[in-house]
Amino acid sequence: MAAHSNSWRLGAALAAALLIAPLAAQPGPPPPSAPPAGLKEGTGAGFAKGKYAQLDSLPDWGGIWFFAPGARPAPPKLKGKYKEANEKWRADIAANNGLDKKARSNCSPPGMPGFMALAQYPYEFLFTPGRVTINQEAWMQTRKIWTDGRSHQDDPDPSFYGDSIGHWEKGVLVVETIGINDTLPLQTGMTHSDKLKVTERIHLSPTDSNLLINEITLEDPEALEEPWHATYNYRRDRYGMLLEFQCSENDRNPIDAQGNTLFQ
Amino acid sequence: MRMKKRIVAAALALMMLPQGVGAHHSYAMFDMTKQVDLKAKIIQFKWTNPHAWLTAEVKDASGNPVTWNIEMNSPNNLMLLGWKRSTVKAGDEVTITVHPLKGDKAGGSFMSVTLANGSKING
Repeated sequence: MAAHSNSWRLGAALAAALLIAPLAAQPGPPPPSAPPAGLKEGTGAGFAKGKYAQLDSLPDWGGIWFFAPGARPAPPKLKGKYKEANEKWRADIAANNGLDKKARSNCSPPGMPGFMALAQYPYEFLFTPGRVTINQEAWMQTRKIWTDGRSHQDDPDPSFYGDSIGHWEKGVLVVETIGINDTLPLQTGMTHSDKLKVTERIHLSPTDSNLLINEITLEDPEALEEPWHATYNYRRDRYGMLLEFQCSENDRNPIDAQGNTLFQ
Repeated sequence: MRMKKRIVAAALALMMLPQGVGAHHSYAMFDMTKQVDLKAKIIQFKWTNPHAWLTAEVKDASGNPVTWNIEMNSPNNLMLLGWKRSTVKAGDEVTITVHPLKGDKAGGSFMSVTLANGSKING
């Protein structure tokens, strides 16, 4: 009987160990975040309750929006190693039947600032208290713009969409973005430094309420001779919806080890 | 009224599409100066992002069946042009117009399809 009881105990201990082992490998819940720079405890986008009515004073950006390129401005004036890299890229394309070699899969999004100039796939702009969220159908990208009074992070981790702080000037959303990953393109065939700053003034056209305008400025003291300005336009579709975009579901254009775009 | 609205939306969508400029990848792999009409039998119509996609059987000059891969626009743009996931299906005999790939691979960028009933749909 005692032997039987012992084997039962051993079995129970083994079962418990098996159950616990995978759990023990998981970290526990982290402690809560401190308020970000510029915000007092108990304020900010995380405390939205009671502030939704204020959103009604914001402009009408409902529906979805398709990028509608206007007049193309002169390209950014690169300098130093960024200029040299762009010249090499051009020469490589000329030597490769016009085809661009890529280091990154076509299933990897461009990040900022290319995010704001994507053809074919629409955008939507969502307002919640203290924040504007821009969704882009391509790659199902999401950009977060904090309008709750916080300041930039002291040392933001380099990321695809950077650290975006915005505020409203009447009907104009003014956004400043820093912290953009310097392995991402400035434009096709161009790179930038980790000092890139993107400033945007986004507003409805004064003469056409179905036209959204983004006056965008790129500044980069290491990569650009001078700030670059452009005006991007977006056309409204009131009842349109963003579709799913799971790139791996229909990835017909993978990139091979030599950087060639395949077609299969 | 609804139909008219759709036509306006489709025309608008067409105007908005920058010719030969795609967000997902460059169109440099296609010869955008050439057009080819393909008498084709649909093998598969894939209605998903990043691009809708047709695979179709086309007879070559010697009468041998060749599988063509044809990249289309994004489904969201195609919807505005009147497309649905059921617009074409496997087995349909159609004529497809494409900008062919550069080189000798059997593939291209979709321009339009003419269905068995004679109706033509752009993409």
